[in-house]
Amino acid sequence: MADDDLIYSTIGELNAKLKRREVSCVELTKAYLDRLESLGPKYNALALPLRKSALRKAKYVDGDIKIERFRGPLQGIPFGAKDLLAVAGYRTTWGAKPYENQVFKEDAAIIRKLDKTGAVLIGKLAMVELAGGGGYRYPSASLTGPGLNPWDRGRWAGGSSSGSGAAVAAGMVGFALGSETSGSILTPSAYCGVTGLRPTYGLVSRAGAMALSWTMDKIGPMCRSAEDCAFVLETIAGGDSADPGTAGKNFYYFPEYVRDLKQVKIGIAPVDYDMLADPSTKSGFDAALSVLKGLGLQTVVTHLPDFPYPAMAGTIIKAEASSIFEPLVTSGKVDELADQRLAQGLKAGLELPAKEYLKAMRIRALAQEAFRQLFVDVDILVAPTRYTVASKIGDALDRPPSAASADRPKGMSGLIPAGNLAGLPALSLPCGFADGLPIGLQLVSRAFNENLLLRMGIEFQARTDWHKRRPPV
Amino acid sequence: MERISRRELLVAAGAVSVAASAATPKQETPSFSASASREDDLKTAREMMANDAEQLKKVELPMAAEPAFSFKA
Repeated sequence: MADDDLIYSTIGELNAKLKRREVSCVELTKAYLDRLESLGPKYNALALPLRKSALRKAKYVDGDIKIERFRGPLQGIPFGAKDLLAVAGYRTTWGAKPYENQVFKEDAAIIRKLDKTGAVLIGKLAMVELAGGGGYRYPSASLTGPGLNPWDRGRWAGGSSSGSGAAVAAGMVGFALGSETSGSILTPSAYCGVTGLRPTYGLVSRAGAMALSWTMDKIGPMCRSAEDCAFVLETIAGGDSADPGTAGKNFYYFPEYVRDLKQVKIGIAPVDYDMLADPSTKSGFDAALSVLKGLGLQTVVTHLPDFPYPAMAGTIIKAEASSIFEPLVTSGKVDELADQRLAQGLKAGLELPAKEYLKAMRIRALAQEAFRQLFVDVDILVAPTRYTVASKIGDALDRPPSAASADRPKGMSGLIPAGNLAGLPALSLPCGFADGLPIGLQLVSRAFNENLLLRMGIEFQARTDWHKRRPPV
Repeated sequence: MERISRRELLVAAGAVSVAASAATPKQETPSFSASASREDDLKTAREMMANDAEQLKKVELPMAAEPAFSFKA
């Protein structure tokens, strides 16, 4: 195996080494492939290795570098893609048995973009089946088994981008692509101790990706640093006529043009840290907030606009996912899924009355307006990404946490579904450990304000080293 | 063990986000298939939808509130 310092380098560091020809792209790709193929199965993180095509591409990249044809920071960087992104000619299983032999003829749009810039796809990464649409009960809801956490194989890697989180944390890839409908980038990022970015709805094309909810799906990077997320987002963002949801906007990474952080207002809900977060996480979150405040930011006590976000997200996702997977349900193949709660959830979703979907969408419009008003007074909402560390691998995910009581203050506990319903960008940063497991802090801002989130993330990571910690793989 | 009413269970289950239902679990379970039949799961899924509908019903909607047609704030 290659030197761990090389494997755990950031994209910027790896690209510099490639350009200085301290390491060749073929050597780097082989090193990551070796790790992916040996560690991937250990953590149920690998759906499909792509050694042959990766080495072919790496050789081509080395040729480009030799003649100083530089294509950007991702040139020569080996990466993995969640197995809901189509790669022409190879199996794309969506993590689900009914689709285990599915092969597409075309690459997903962002796979093509990354290929053009010289990034090297080395494998498809495991995921919760159908990205969890319909709701699932156990981490084992996957064709490849439960996603295991590199920090503790007895814990879940999070879902639904389980393999992406584990692969970045364990140094199996230089970066990974994940997708989020309601927490599927942020949750595994927090549980695995990696940096994950959920872009604004419509910033990244979803053409060639499995659809779960047309109005909520997003694709984003999971990396070893906030700056790495910026490099990946700059490449994958942009309009696409093949995805009618795209906004036609590009993303240019210009952190230096973000206004002075002393003028930036962050909104926090103290109850998040005093009551809702698990006691074991409190000191970590408190320390992380101190670092943020040390940047000179203005702090405002606030709370989420009061809407039933989980019920809204649940209704919308169930209605859209059940419509998308109606052929799977009516064919009876839905019963081949690993998690019967998910299968029956898709069946039940077909019975959802149109009026309930419309009601959820009407409330969604009110919630979006409330967020626009909130972001007049606050630039960034800050909250724990999850209030606990990763759950045990055998634990049910649908048992009521004590915090679910209607009488308890809500703080920002609905921020994941709320941010997804409002299509807002979010960045999850590793911010400490509790019981030996990573915890994460999420930053959420107004639409298309990724540069501010990334600047904050970069400043935070310049003052902390949580994102540099390595699990004992 | 703490007793949990069916209603509390539904409220909490509805609060779990679909794609990242990583709520704080406390109960050990041996395997995913052992604890409920398909019929039970279908019944639970229907009850969760009904619970979501109950929560949506509590929101007052002015007539002018149209469904969201843009999916970002």
